[in-house]
Amino acid sequence: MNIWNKADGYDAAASRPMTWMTAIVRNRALDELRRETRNVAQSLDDETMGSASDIEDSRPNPLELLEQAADSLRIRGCLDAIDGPQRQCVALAYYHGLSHSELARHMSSPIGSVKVWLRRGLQRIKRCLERPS
Amino acid sequence: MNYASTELLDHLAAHYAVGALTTHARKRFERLRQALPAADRAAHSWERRLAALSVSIPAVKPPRAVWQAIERRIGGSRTAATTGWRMWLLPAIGFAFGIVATAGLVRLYPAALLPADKVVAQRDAVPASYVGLLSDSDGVPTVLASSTRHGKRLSIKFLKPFTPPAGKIMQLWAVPRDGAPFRLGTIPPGEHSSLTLADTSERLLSKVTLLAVSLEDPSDNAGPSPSPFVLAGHCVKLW
Repeated sequence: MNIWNKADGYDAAASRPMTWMTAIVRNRALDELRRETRNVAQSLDDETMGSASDIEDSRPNPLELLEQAADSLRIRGCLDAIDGPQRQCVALAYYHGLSHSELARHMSSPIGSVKVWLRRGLQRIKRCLERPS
Repeated sequence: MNYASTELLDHLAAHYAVGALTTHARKRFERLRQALPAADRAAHSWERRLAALSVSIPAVKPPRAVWQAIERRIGGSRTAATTGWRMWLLPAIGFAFGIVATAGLVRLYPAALLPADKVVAQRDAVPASYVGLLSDSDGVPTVLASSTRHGKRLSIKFLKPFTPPAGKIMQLWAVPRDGAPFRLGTIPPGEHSSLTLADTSERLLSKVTLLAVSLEDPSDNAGPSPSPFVLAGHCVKLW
């Protein structure tokens, strides 16, 4: 419905249709994800938090998704040269929608380090994507 | 923050596009995008770049109820006749893609849709036309169909190779807003071709929202109902 409602605002000079639609879908999904995360955090007390964290995550592994994408885009060699934490930050943020603070918790690292890893990882991936295959 | 800094905008846009900002920070950046074209451009660049990484995300087929809910929300209601082509008809993505991609193509490549002499004569004013951009099941634009509003000739251009299986022919169908699909004709082989319509585009297509292609046996080319559609896209009025 968001795509339908925003169709008038599409600017062909700014982005391709699929990119434009992907951004709308991702933004909406991230909004929903943040809302759900907030609600879960508010509704779970300390006793149930433990069992909630034990629930198996059935989502595809984000690092595997990043590697598959790199294979499809023929940038696997370039991706493999990126440091592990940088790659992991990008994969967790892009495929699982983790925020800076969630990344810090997930990786048991200071939020400052996570921000640096993510920034460097994104810049490295930018260079990979811009490099001729 | 110094939003005049290209580096800062690029940094914010990257973290926004990858999805690492909290809700509050996301909203703040979205307001910045609206106020500052440079921020919007930076966000578009990162969205375009990172969209490439979505290639590995497995597709998820939405439940039928989702399409039905969308259908209700946008004011269309269809029943039995829709079963084979419902998936094509009302998904917002198909609509948005069809409308915007068609409009974009017309602006950029008018010769793809119109006879060259008319393009030259009316370079700054595309004549009133009906246009359909038909995509395959992966959403890849495959066929452009166009006809001037009062013309009886429908031009067909394949945007990528598409060969029907041996022994099958490509039938072009028009799907009205309310009513059953009706046949427009058989698409001849070849990258460029045309169909002679039974009436003017205006009379045939004014209430048509979708054009679609099915594969039929040559012996069934007068059948009243289509096989499942292999290509489909919205039919839009350009005037």
